[in-house]
Amino acid sequence: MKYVIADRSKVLSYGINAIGHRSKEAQIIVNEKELDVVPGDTLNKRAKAVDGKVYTATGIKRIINEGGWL
Amino acid sequence: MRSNKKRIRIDYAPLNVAVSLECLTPLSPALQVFNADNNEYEPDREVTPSTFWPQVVANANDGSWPNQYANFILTQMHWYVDGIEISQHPDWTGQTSGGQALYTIDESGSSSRGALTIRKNVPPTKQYTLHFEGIITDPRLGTNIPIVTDDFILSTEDKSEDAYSISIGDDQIIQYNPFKDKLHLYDYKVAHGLIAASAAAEAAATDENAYLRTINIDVFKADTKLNSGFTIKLYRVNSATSFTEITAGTDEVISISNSAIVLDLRLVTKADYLIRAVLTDSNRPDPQLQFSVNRVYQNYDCRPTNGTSILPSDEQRYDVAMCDSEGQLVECPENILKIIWKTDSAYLANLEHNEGGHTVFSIAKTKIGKNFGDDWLDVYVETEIKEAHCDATDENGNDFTDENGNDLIFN
Repeated sequence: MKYVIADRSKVLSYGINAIGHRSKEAQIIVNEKELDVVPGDTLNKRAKAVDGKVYTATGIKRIINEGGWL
Repeated sequence: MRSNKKRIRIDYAPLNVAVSLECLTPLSPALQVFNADNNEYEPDREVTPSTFWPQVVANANDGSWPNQYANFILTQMHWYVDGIEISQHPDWTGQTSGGQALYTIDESGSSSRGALTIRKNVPPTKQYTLHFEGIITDPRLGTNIPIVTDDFILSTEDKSEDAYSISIGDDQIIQYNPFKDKLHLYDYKVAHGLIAASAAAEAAATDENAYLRTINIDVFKADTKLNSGFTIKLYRVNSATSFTEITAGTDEVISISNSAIVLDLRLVTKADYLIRAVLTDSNRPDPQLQFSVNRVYQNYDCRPTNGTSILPSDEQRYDVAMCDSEGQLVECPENILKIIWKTDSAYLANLEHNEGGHTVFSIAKTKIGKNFGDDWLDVYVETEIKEAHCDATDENGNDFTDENGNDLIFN
């Protein structure tokens, strides 16, 4: 499964509930299934629609471990 | 001077409290998937945690309770894992690989107060049963109201290539509606001599709504369907952690084989079951699946049909009940409904005559009058859908059987 660091307000604008999600300043982490509500035929396109970038599980854990994520 | 004092209080209506459990992260749910090929959990709760919320709704009939959503006044909040307070549970005291707590409880004053956010991934071999307990205080009446949610289970499905799985060829929520059961009607008609027994008619009546429910079972290793190497067992779910094995011939269980389970749904009001394929030679966990059976209580209308006047010479009165439901006439409604015949007259109300689809009663018994002002009679039925059948037993609990030793049931 892939994960996306995206713009929090853009993610919320698609009806995704922010409760329980890791966030840092204006960014939020969602998983690929949560982005299914965002238009786009690939994960990369859906991520781009919310100003996001796609990561593997290993990659995103590395970023989380750098700190600052609630 | 003498005085006499009496203290009176405002008589508030008691608080009606409802609590439900909601997963606020439906795409990080209670069930995870473990992919052994890349050793990853999907989703990984360290990245997208799961949040469960005990929603508390309170209301007073007199309108004296101001806030319907009552989470923000929760106190003494505790989450329990397998009956142990979560902070004391040895599996939940560690940290994630990133050094964060495995869980947090929302202690804010917001509407999500009490929510549990979980960052722990559950190995496929483990499962945890969780529930929430707390208190809300009603200052109007000076009472504390305990809040306890239902249990829910955190578990993980193993999707690796050699994982075992089980599926059933039926809904996981099976509904039984006696109004739609043609086999039940066929049995009734045969038993009452209304039609002759016929294997063809019986087969035609045994459709997807029949009380005899065959639940087909398939066991897979990865994508390969297995025909051997396992034994199917059926359990009744008493609670999230308590199961009782039930075997063929017990109550509603007609038969159990490795390919199907047959239940008699007439004996079930509401029940949860667990099917487990006990593997003969494997160190992997036995695949299992839970399903439930519910009885449907369909809306209906039942009424007397005899609209003729009473002649002075009449001594008895006959009537028959007519029942319809969802636009269809219900045949033999006494098979499904408990129908009690009653009459009211000017001098005797609520007189009960008999139970059944029709009635014949003595007109004199109703105390009907002889004059214009009192020579009327209200004939009516009181009805309810019959409950599930149960085994017929004597006072010592011994089963009544037919001549072939089959248990008799009744409702």
